[in-house]
Amino acid sequence: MSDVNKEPVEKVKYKPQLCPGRTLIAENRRRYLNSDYKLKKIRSLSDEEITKLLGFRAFGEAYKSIHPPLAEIGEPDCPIRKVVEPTPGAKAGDAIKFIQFTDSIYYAPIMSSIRGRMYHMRYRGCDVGALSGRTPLEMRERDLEGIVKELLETEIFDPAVNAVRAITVHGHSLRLDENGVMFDAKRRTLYSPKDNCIYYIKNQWGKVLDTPINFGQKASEEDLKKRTAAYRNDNVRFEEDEAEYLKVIFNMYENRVKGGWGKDLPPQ
Amino acid sequence: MLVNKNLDNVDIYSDCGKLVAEKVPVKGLSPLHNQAIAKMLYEIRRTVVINLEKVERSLRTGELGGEFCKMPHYAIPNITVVERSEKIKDRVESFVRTRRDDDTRVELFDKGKRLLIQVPKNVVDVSADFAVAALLGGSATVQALVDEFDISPLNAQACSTAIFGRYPSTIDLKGGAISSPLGVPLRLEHLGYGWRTVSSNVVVSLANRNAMKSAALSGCFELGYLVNAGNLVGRYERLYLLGFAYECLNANNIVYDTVLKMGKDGTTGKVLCEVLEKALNEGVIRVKETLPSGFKVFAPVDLELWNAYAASGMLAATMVNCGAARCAHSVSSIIINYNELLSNESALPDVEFGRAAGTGLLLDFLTHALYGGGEVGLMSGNHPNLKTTKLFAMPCVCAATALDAGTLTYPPEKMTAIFSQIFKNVKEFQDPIKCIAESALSAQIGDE
Repeated sequence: MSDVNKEPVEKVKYKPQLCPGRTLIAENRRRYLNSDYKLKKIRSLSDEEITKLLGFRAFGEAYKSIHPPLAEIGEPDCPIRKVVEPTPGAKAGDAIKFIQFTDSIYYAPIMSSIRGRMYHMRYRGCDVGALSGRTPLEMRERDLEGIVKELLETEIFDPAVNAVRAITVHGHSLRLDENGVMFDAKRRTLYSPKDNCIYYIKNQWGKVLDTPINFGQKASEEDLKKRTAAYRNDNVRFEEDEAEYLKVIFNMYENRVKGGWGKDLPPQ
Repeated sequence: MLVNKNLDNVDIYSDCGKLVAEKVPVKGLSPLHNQAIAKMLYEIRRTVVINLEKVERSLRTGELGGEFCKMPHYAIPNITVVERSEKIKDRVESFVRTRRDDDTRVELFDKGKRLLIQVPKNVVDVSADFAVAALLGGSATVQALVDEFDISPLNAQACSTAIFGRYPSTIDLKGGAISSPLGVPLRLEHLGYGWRTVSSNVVVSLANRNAMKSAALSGCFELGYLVNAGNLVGRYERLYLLGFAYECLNANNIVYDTVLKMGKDGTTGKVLCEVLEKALNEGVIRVKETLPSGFKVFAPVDLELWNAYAASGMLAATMVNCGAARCAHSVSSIIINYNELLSNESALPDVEFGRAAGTGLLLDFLTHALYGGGEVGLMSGNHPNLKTTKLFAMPCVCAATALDAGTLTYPPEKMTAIFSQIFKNVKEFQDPIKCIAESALSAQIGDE
């Protein structure tokens, strides 16, 4: 037997630490990843606007289903199904639908890598794509609509540097235009200099909406620099947190090598 | 004589979290010692199913060997294969059976539409690879058809093509009527990958859609592969056996207990924290250093055991997230993000030291139609993607498939439902966790 179970260890409650680092960026990451932290609401969108933006159904139309409700089809005898409660969408047999975000490298509050981790910390039944320039999130339709509100209304979304794009996502690594808005080949957003607001004039598929959706004023660059979860040389440099990150990465790799080869790394 | 004694013991709990066996030596879980796993592997290896309905349809229309192959001049329009299936079965049995009392099994299913053939032990013993059931069973059926319907030599080739498909023009049995739990040897990704050709649909059918049992059965095939490919030796033996015990057999009730706690409102991240708490409290990991920001860098006290805990957490996270959505597709996303969160959260090595994260990433592309197609249920360990993680990823894929409520295009019921009927009386397939644990105890490891 290994040394593990010989000494009794004092029981402790584990507190999620989410990521290393002392800078504002690390703080932001921890805030967004922490499922107990309630994201700050900065705009209001109606249910109708969200349904229209997603573009899967008309507002008020029934949800499309992919299989009959669970209560009708009956579930196989599986202890795991008995203890894991299905989400409302799964119970009703909703089809799987998605929302996809493109996040600019210019101080977007949140970007692909943190998005994936945030969704998996906060939401049940989510299926996040792992790509560099865009992040699809697939869920049962009514579950998706339930969380999209939080994703669009809170501090993690800025209409100039984050965008909802189901197709033609290109733009995250391009320079911002003269108004500070991310490039979009489908021109889904419209910047109005009069009120400094950004409007979605097309849904995520690029189909023109009957009425534009007002996403409110775009944030200033100073504000975005405080909200972003990305290190940048012209904002908070990675070098400020480098020492901690390297310790974490080195510890992980050292143990990976030990596990893979059964031996320590040779002395450098 | 040197005998590698491995004295780790675990308590094994059932799929409902009830204690099944105490102090089971993990060494006894190896297929080399475990009779229950050996029995399962043997049963799978000798099994093949012939789709008589498809044979009849092909012969009647002359559509032989799958799409684009229509040869009306080969058609035998009035052939009644399904109607005379009972006689065909008797003929096949007379060809396959070697002795009166051997373990040959030839049976009809689905009102004569499917013919099950299990070849006897002496055939398996002398065969060099696992194609014998398909080839022997197929040949016997071809001859039975020719004899039963007195088919002329000019048409007899059509019977062979109806069953074997385009083989040997193709390297597999494309367009044929043979369905085997295992694939064909010529399709193997690497040497020794035979047991990895079992797709997750087959595993889920065998386990009757029970998620924990699907994971357990999948683990058995992966262990069979590890032995076959020379991976269950030396320093890796303990790594994989502990991983199998904890992830697939619910050792120390980690998987079930975590799922039970997280069933109502758990997420992948919360499951991870729960597993870290368990590992910390049981002394599997320790705090190595506290960084100036307060971030604690953890180090494993026992690397192999920690890997087993991490793998259990990955399966539990799959059960919680896929179970909540009752949808299999998110398994790839869980595998990536669980490991990504794990390494950023604790600085500990992730499942199988980085391999699982890589597998998850490609699996995400493949199951979400980014690079080519594929579906969770059709995946097997022999896939260029899933081959990169030994043992740990496939149980998650199988558990996810088992928890799907109907979002798959190729669900187990449609593809491989026959296997749940074939093995419904074999207790090893019906209750794998209990059988494997009892068999490990009776192997009397440590008494040598």
